[in-house]
Amino acid sequence: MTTRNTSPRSQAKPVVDEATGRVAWYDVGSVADFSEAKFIPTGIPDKDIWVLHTPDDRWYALRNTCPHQGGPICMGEVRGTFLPSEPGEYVFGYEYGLIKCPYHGWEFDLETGQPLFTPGKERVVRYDVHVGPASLHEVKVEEGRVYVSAKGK
Amino acid sequence: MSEIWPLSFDFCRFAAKMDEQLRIAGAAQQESGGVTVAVQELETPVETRKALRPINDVDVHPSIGGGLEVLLPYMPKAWQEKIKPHARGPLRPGGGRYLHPIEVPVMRDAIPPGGGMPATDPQFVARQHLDRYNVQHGLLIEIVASTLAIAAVDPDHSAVLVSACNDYILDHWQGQDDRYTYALTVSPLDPSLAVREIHRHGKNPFVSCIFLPIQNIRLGNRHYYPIFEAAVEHGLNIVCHPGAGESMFQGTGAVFACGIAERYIERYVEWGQIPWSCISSLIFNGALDRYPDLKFMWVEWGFAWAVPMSWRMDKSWRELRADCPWVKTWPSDYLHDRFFFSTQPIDEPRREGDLVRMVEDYFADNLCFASDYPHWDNDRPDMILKGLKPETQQKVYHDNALKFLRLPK
Repeated sequence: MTTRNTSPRSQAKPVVDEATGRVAWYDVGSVADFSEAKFIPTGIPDKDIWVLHTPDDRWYALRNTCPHQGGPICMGEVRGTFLPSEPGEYVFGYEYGLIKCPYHGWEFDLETGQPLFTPGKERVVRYDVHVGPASLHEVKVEEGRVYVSAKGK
Repeated sequence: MSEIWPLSFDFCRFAAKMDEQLRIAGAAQQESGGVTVAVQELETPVETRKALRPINDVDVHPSIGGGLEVLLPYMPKAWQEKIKPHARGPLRPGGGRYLHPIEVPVMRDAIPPGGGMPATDPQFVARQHLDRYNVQHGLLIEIVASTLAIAAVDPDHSAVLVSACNDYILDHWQGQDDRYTYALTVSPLDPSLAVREIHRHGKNPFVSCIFLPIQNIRLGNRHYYPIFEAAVEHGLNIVCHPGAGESMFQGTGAVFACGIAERYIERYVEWGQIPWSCISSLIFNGALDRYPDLKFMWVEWGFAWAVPMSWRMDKSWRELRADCPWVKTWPSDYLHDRFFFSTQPIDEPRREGDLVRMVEDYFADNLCFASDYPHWDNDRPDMILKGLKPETQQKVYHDNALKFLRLPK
């Protein structure tokens, strides 16, 4: 179970896009802050955004609100789920590719934000994640720091 | 539940996991000097409270914080001695019969700031739930008592466990917040002991109805008449809620039609069979006419199924009325006047409007909002039944519950 502290590990620092003068990203901490293979809350002001670093080095950022009934979706399981299979057969998969809301069990694909295996128009709100030192357009990035976009998708 | 979370897994295993997670949360808290989500989220409800109209919630679950040993002080000395050697066992027997697909089926943001199981801290529940949704009256329904009531086969043992749970809840929750009101649990095994329990607490203003767990005897059976009589004497109505090992315990527990379900999801969708049978039994065997002042509320069993059931009852009454000549009016009128239902777990038809239409047409006068806090399938009052007419909304979210509960004047 993933009941856990929801205080951010560090303050999020706004990062301004020099071309537009607007806050385009937030520096939410170092890579080491997100080592637990589960969603960790960030300190982005006024937005409840959590970040996951998967064991195979993928990064996801989500708004901690399930589109179904507003449950704290980022407190849910990401370990995987049971894939559609033949009767009597259990196939576990989709490891760290989904989020399962801890309230009503709705599952969403982390890549697309869409419901997984069940049809539906609901989407979880996702944010881009960027990890330094790779350069980011018009933005100064530091090695080993994690950046989350200010705008959701 | 709906289903109430603990039915389908082992309490001890759950408690151990909770403890482990709480330790992790506690450590993280110390590291960051921060607080858990539950506390953080408390910033929101104050604003929400002003914005929302007052509501009533007929399903809030207080938890017993610990194993059977915490109930021992609430038992007579001899029973303490009898139960003590077994008190390290699970609080709720029957764990593991169903593997719950939701790994930990409680609201993960409902852990109280001081740690422990969700819904063990009345003050925290008041802030996180009652304040947030502007709940005026929250009906406390304690589930462990109902499971223990049915798991025990000795009626005396069953009654002692139930009384201990009642006393535990009264001790921990009464006086904590005026918005709480309590459904007093009784054991259904020996009606004379249930009557004793009703008389023991029936005058307590904190008690607003009787929680009667369902065993494998239909509710209209004369077995229950003494319980109904005592309830009427105190002006208390009867609430029924899953929790008594339905479709789990062979023997006293109510079993669904055609045998025991093999998996959790089956059980979850089939709950309605039990009230379906009991409503039919109460109407056609004359119990409702014997106790004309008594009302029943079905909490967490669904409600949509009652519509086709009422159609069948009305048709059958016209044709077969002579089988139960004491039934003098349409069964659907009994259903409307004498039975209440609760919203959670809300049905979610693919065409959302279907459910809203059904509530407007059939349930405006006897459906009550229920959250099921703090269980996994809880419903938020602002997220369900969107599109009800304002007058229906007022009844479902507020007025109807007041017609059922015996609240202090």
